[in-house]
Amino acid sequence: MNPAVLLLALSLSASSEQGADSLRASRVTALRQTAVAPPSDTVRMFRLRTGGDLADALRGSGALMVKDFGGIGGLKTVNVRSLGSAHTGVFLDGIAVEDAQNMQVDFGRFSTDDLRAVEVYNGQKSGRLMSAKEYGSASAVYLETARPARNRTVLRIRGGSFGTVNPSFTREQMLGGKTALRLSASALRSSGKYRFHLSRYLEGEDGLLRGYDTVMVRQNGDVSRVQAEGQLFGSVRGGDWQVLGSFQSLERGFPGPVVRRPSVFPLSAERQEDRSGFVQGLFRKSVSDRYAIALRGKAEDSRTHYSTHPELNPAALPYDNRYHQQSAYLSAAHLLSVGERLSFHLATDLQYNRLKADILQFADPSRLTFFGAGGADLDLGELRLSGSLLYTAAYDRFRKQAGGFSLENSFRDAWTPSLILCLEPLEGTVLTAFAKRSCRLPSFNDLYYTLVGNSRLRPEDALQFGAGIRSSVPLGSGWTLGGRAEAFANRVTDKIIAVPTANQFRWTMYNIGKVGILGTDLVFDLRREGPVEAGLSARYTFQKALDRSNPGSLTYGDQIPYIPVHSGSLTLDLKWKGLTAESVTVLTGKRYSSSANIPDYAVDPWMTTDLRLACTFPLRKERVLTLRMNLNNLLGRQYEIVQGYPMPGFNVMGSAEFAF
Amino acid sequence: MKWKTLLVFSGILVCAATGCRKDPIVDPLPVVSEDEDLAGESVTVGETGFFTKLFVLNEGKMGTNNATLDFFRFANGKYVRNAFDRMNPSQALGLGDVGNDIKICDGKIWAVINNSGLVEVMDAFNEKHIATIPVRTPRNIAFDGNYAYVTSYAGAFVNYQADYTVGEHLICKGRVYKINRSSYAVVDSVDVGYQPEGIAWYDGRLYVANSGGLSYAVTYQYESTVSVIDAGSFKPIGTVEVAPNLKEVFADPDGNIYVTSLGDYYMNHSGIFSFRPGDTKATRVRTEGMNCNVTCAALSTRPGNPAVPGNEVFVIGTEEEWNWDPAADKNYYLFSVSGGNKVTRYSSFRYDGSVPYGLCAAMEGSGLKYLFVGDAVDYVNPGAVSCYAAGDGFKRVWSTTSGVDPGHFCLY
Repeated sequence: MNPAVLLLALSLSASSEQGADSLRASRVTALRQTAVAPPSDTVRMFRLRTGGDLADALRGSGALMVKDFGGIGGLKTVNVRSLGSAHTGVFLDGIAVEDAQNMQVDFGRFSTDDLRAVEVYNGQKSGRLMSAKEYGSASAVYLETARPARNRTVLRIRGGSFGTVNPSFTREQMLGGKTALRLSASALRSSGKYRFHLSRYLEGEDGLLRGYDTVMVRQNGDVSRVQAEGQLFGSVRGGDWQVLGSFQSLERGFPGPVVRRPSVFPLSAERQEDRSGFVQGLFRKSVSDRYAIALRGKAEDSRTHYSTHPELNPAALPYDNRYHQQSAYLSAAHLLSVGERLSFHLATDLQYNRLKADILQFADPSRLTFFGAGGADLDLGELRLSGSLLYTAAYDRFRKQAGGFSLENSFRDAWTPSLILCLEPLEGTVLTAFAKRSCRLPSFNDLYYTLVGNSRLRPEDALQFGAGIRSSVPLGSGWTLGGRAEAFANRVTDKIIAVPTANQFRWTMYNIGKVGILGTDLVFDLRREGPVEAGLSARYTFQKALDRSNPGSLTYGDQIPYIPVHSGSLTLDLKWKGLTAESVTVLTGKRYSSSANIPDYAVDPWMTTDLRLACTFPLRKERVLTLRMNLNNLLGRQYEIVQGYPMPGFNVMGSAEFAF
Repeated sequence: MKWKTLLVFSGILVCAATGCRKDPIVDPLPVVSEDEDLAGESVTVGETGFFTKLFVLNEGKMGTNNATLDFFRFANGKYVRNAFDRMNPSQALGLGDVGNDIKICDGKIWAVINNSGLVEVMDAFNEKHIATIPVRTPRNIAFDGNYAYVTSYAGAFVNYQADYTVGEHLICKGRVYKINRSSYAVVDSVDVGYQPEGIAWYDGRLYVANSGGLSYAVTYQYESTVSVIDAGSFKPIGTVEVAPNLKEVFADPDGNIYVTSLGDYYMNHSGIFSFRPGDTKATRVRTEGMNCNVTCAALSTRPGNPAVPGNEVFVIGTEEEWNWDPAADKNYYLFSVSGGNKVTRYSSFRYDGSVPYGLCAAMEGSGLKYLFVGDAVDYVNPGAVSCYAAGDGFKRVWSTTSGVDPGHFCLY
């Protein structure tokens, strides 16, 4: 079976869990995003429905590392192939989710309840009618919401460990033949408290171990979140459109790193409140057989209040700041087909960002960015080629008084090409290769943060090469054996890092980092279709991500922080009638918390196993009750992903979902 | 067939799950019961013994809980790393997060652990734990006959209303805590300026250097005064105007009070200032052809039992302190100040490390014998401690790897 078809079949079979209600045949098939190369990973629908958040759903996905500070409210970022989390783009229904202040997307903020698909691209995605911005990220995670197919209401209640309660509601309503509405709301509350073990043993010269083993409770990790969304879907002749409005209010505490502190003083009293809302829209239409257009737009307003509450924790630096970000985005993408085999694409985007803060002498920066991408796709049947060139130009404005920033460095631009090649010599075997350059603009924090910022920064540059083969063989009686092997070589230059200059009190951002990355991804997949569905998927990633910044320094040639040389995962799943079970085991090898790879900075390898169970009970009149149970960290392993931030041990989340 | 296959798969899973390492983390440095058994690296041979030990407090990187205590033993020329953890293995989380000051009083080491909010008292003879005193955000320590005095960032809150763009901000005044040296209990406290740093005792008075290093983000100005406190009544009795962003205070046995300023990184360079008790203004120490900037400074120490303060302040500084290029190779100079304003420059001193971060001057008689310099290198990875012999044209006698940011020394 063709792997692309296999993937499609997988996602369809997965989505059939919802009932036979997903939209399959629609008028928009002409515009279906057909990629030159298939995605590197597709998260199964089952996991989207059981996972707490997007970071949970992505755990165990190939070369993608989830950096998790622990707990429900802890920051979760995603780093693909060691390029750094700022190089991972996140696209919700084709439109970028972003934060100009720190260029980082917190994956813990996304609920996966209403998503239909999540796809991960380790390199360039090559779809049809992509926005110019989509050509800009070194790697990308695509989220797609489910389009309603009939009138339906879903009520869910989730809860469990850490005092978590998470009710949610979704209403899907057909408005005539061509328009559909989805309304959803959810609330989440969690104390974020969990116990963790802390131990260290030192060996005596007598061979005996002496040390300590103590149990502590993670404090100040509580979260409360309210989210509401409304989405309209419609279709026109030869095209479709959708509009999404979303509001989120999130209040949480950051528990901080675990350090020695007398019990009379708290470890942390840091709090952050975020309130954000956005409206985005997408319109796609095939104007003729030869020409199609896609228009996208987004406006967002988000406010953040961050406080260290020094009155509760005087050990903290006294910060009590309010940030206000506004952004607007417009994009037009064109596709021109010349005959059956050749098509040209052109996309132009314009983005505006503004950041205000109540910090004295704050630079109040705003940025206007232009993205222009053009290229061609060639489809020769067995061989498919896609080449594009992106031009990014950003112009910043800011109040000059702060720290003597100069205006002469307010313009940055970059040309970044990409080439993808996909060869399908045999039925079921696909060879892919890509080369891509991408850049990430310095964030407002990098540039203008009081005292630390450095307005002379250049964009961070990433060069990627990847080649791989994927193949699948039917074994008979419903079994399919699949495999994938990929090799990649990346280079990050002008990496923006904070460096203490002249003295410890004055850190500044500099473009001095260089990282050389070499690695391979291996995936083995065994799957059975039929009345009893079963699957096994094993992944292994080898990555050497070495510091190449400063020859002669202590850290030169050492592995960069938090990137394991060896990592992998093992997924087993089983589906029989209404019962589904999945186990995900994630293994991460030894890492270092610093680029100096010495024993003092070694962070222990870890492994966790999560078990997810679901049971569906079809009731009368298309009513469906689903009960789910997640048993996370089944063996209660104590581990840390980030040094000083212990992760929870065994924890349970249960949910009940009633759809009618 | 399929069930068999699944059985095999589950078998693989279980093996993988249980096969994961269960061993505790074992530090390569062994734990011992006696301090003499602490293995160390031989760094020097030859003439050594006139102090017993040189203690080095490595600050560590904030948030990573890796403050450590090293020492150099003069008798056998060995450098011992991480002595506190190895002598006190059952102390949960070791010495703590961010060591900021270390001083010896009556055979006890008082280590001020800033981000852990405590002062750790241990035996200077064998580094064994004696007491832990909780003090919020402690910075530096000084002693008189019966008490220890610790500066802290945590004083009374004030609601600061800035002039135009900023709303209300809570910021807190600094404070000095008075600790009974035998009961280890905090007995009194008094508020001083914003973010006090160094503290020194002279003739019944405490001199506290206020920095304003954190409140700067709100007030947009550094503190520039030394607060003077009467040690007996523990009441403030005045201030001395010095320069912006003060760091350290040293009082020599003749009543010269020296204060270092970090400068404001923009208009005012760092420097060393001096005044006498009763003065209300300090004067900058300067000499012809040299701005006398300060990167790190230390009051000299004379051998004796216990070691006694000398009357010279040694300073390493550079004229290129505002060169923010992280790759810049700067020229550092060494000078000393005595008698309030007499500057002696040691031009034969050549600093061959990266970033001088901590300093210690060991005297013999009236002259400098050894200069110990802590090198922060890149501030986040292990640094180095070097020893320079003053009598030999400041030749580097030895240099060895320390913990992260070896910033504070004391001689025993």
